[in-house]
Amino acid sequence: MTKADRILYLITALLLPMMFYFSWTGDKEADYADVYVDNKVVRHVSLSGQQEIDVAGALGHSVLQIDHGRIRFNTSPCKAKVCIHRGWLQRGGEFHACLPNRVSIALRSNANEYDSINF
Amino acid sequence: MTAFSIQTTAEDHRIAWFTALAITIHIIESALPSPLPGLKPGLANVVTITVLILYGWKAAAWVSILRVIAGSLILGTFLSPTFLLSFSGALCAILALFIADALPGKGFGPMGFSLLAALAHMTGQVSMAYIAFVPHPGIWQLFPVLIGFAVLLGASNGLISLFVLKRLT
Amino acid sequence: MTSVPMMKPLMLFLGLLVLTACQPAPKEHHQTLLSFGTLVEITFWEDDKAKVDTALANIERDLKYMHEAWHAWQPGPLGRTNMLLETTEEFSANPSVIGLIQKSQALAIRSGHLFNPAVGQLIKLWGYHSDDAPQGPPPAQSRIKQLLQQNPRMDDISIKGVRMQSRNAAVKLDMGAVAKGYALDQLMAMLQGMGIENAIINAGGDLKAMGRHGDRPWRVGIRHPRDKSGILAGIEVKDGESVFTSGDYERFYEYKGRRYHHIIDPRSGYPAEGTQSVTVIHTDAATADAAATALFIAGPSNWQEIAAAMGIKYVMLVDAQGELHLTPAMQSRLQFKEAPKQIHLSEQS
Repeated sequence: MTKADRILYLITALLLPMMFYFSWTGDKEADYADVYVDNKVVRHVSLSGQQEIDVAGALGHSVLQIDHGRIRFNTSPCKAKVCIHRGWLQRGGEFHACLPNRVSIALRSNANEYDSINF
Repeated sequence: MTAFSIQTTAEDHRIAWFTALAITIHIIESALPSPLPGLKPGLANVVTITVLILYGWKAAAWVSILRVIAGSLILGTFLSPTFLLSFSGALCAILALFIADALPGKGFGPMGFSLLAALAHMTGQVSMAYIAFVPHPGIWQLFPVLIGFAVLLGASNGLISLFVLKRLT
Repeated sequence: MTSVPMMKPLMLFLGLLVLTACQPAPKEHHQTLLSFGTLVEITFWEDDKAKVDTALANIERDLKYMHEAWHAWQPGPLGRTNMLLETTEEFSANPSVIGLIQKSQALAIRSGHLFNPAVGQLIKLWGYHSDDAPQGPPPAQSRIKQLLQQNPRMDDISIKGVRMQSRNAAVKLDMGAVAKGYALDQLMAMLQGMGIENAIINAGGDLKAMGRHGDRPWRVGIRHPRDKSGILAGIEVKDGESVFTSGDYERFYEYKGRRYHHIIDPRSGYPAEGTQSVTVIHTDAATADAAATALFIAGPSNWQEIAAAMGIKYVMLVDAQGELHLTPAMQSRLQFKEAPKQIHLSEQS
């Protein structure tokens, strides 16, 4: 292998994982979130602006925080607080839940916001 | 009817010989099963790379294009979607080789050329597939997987070319 | 596409890969058809794929039948009915049109004849009778006046069983303002009969829904009358509801700087003015279809009266200035993307 060959292979080896990352992670930002309690949608909220949402679940109240396009569990009555440790969710299609409290969030982008358009 | 003859040069003979070799390899390879439809080891490219290094880009371009056209005529896929994909892949590969060959300095060896050709070939094929057959952006999620294969195959064909060249010179 | 053996598995693989990446709901089935003179989009939420395939085949077949039966000007049941109505003699009508004509008659009367499918000649004069787009120029005023004087109305037709008769030779039925709604009602009944519980059929923008989208109701976006890419508001559609919009942007032509759209006011003979669009929600799709037209023609000053007469609870009218007129019931259901310029609420509860 010549020097040029080696450089070429090195660059390729570095670029390949990056290609996977960019094409496999959805970069669509979420615009809305569906909040479920026990698999039923109880709230359908916009992620714009800032607000707090109180959701009554099986154990108690989970408080969700919305901040300019992202959402997270702020407080929750569960023991392990796994839901809170997840941190911010912001991409369309992302999903997270507080299983003990039976509260879950599904993020949606405008692309799949409506089932049908009337005009 | 006056007879006419075509004057052939030694270069023509060389190109014809190598093209025939490439076509033969291509046809044998097409009989083998592959994990993914349309994904072949592309051993005929060993001929292209070898010709590139021994006789220059122009000869390699001829061998490559003729191989794709003649191969598809023989296999009965001429002007089919398969052909369109192979042809666009081959075209991109030759262009990439042209640029790589024209670069100043010591340049690439068979390993480098083979990798470049494989990457260009795959990119050309996927792009053509996106434009003409599957205009779904999801095709680009498949792209890194295919490029991964292209890297492996490009490297292995490069090694084979290296070996062949050592034996020839 | 040519059936090259290698392409199909490649497409399948690509399709599968795309599916895994996009994580779609496995029970959602979506299909688009070109039928009934428009683009028809059907969405199912259904486990049984075989049932979905049968349903789609039935829908396609039924739409074709209805389109041919109810075409005003092409040879077919309605075309022949029109010819016979013109004779002002009694005749036996084709069963495929009786239901539609009867329903339209009732709706026309309730709408104060603002919805008037008997003015087919006027529609033809403007060029909006065929599926193609007319070019202009607009028809002569004298010709329009002539047709208006003849005053064809739905109550000129008497229907007794299968026997029909018109007392006015000028009556020419053009079902463009109600056929879609009527068709959707028929299709939904057919799907229900098949045991399908969750579906939306959207024909050229007007839709009827059944059931839910899995764990949530069907969500419909209402397009902005002026901004094609924008959504004015979203609503959650309940089981059995239809959403119909009549707009001045759907079919129109421009001539010498003026726009002439397809919703002709039967009183003036000219395209109705003052409104950009009317959206109506109602369980009966034929009613929703006719009402959307009638309310469009009624305009910002008069729509409330007509809505009450037709029993329409959910109305959104966008007037020529882009201001919204709503019933309070509609306001509570709409989820606006952006706060609208100006809202006028009607007195309806």
